[in-house]
Amino acid sequence: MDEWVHSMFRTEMSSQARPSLDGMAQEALARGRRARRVRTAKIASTVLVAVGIVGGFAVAVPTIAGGHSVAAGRGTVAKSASPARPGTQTAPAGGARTVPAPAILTDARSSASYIRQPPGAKAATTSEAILDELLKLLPAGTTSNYAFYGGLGAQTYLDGANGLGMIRVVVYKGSLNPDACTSAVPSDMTRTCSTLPSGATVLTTKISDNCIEPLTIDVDHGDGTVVEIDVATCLTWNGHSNPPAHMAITAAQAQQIAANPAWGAVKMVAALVHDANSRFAGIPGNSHAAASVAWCPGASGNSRASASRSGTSSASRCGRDSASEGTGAGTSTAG
Amino acid sequence: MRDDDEFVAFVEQSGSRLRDTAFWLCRDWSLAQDLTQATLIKVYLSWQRITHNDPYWYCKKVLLRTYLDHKRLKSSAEVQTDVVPDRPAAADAAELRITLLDALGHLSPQDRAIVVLRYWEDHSVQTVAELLGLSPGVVKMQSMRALASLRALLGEDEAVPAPLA
Repeated sequence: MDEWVHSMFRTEMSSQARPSLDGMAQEALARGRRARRVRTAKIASTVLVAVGIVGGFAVAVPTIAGGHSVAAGRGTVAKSASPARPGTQTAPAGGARTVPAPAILTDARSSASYIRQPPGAKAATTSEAILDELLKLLPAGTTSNYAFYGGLGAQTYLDGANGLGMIRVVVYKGSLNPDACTSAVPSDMTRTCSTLPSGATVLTTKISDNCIEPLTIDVDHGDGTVVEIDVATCLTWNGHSNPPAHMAITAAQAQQIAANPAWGAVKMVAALVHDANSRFAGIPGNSHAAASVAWCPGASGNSRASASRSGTSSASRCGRDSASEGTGAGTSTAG
Repeated sequence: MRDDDEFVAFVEQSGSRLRDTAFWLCRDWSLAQDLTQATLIKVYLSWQRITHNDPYWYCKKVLLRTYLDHKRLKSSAEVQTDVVPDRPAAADAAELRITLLDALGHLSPQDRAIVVLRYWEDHSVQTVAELLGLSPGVVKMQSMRALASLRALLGEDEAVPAPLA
């Protein structure tokens, strides 16, 4: 009796120009792997804290039962039970090491602050501020195809000295897991760790079969902030494919960006946050985890400098197709 | 245990269907792509644990949750209105008719989901109730109400299929 609704659905769908689905599976796979990495890190840190507590309890029990002064001689039981950074954990008494495969991040916060944020009023970090800060730190070139994704993450294309490429930044709460530097990784991946003069740890990850994250630089600021820069060799999925692109910045430049003191997983400079929020207002979905929303400013194109000073934005959402073509629509000039 | 290759094969096989459903829910291809991607990422995270014989069933549940969550977000820019957008005065009668796509925009997100599942996906009342976590009675009632709204919006002539030439 409601055949007319069925019929209208079919008729109208047949008149729709459906975008191509090519590349959707690979994009979902790449982003799914990333989400799994982040989730694994959270689980790992939780387990590590639990192991720390159990380990401390294992020390405490014989001490109390036997009446020895081991704990008293080395500090309090409470101290031994406090969660330590992963990689320094000892196995619980009588058991095999229960630490899971190392993830990049842990929720444990570093005791030292290697890269200090500038003083002054702070405001809660937003994706808008992340995007704005990234645009400020990029080398000279034309930026376009801004997008937000994940919790605090932003994306831009940069057409600069190295050619057109895509760069993403994600700011995480927590710290780098030292185990990630030394443990075995899949054959298509390499991980190396280094230390900046400030003492901050840098983790460089290269994945050969992933054009979105072929080069990833993570810098642990030591204050509960880890900044990840992804330098891609392709652009976002455009409905047909991930078009090949250049690495828009070098590893050294990515490291320099990630190590900038302005980043903060919780707070950033208030003026920057407020300015960015107003200029990038209207971008929907930035709190929608894992949903990428492409956006670019008005078609006339704004210079970043002038847009920043005036605080105005002729923002309008670009369709995915136009935003993904990398034709320079809605561009701004960086550097 | 399901692996990544199976996931890719699943997306290649079911992605189009899923995105078409997402399109009817949000009425925008770009947003439909985003919703589908967000859904697939969530599904990927559970991929190795999905025990259901038909992963598409699970996927559809995730899509519906993602869509309804998205509609609850303040940032959701869509505004419901009972005013049909103005059309050019010179348009002919066919162009003046409101489309089903327009009419769906006048329904609440849940009512729209019910209509899409019932009449696009051809699911039974019982299945729709399971997918949305509602009772069959609620689905039946809301479905009837939504259809009445659509009928009113689309006009009586739409309720009768046009005779074949």
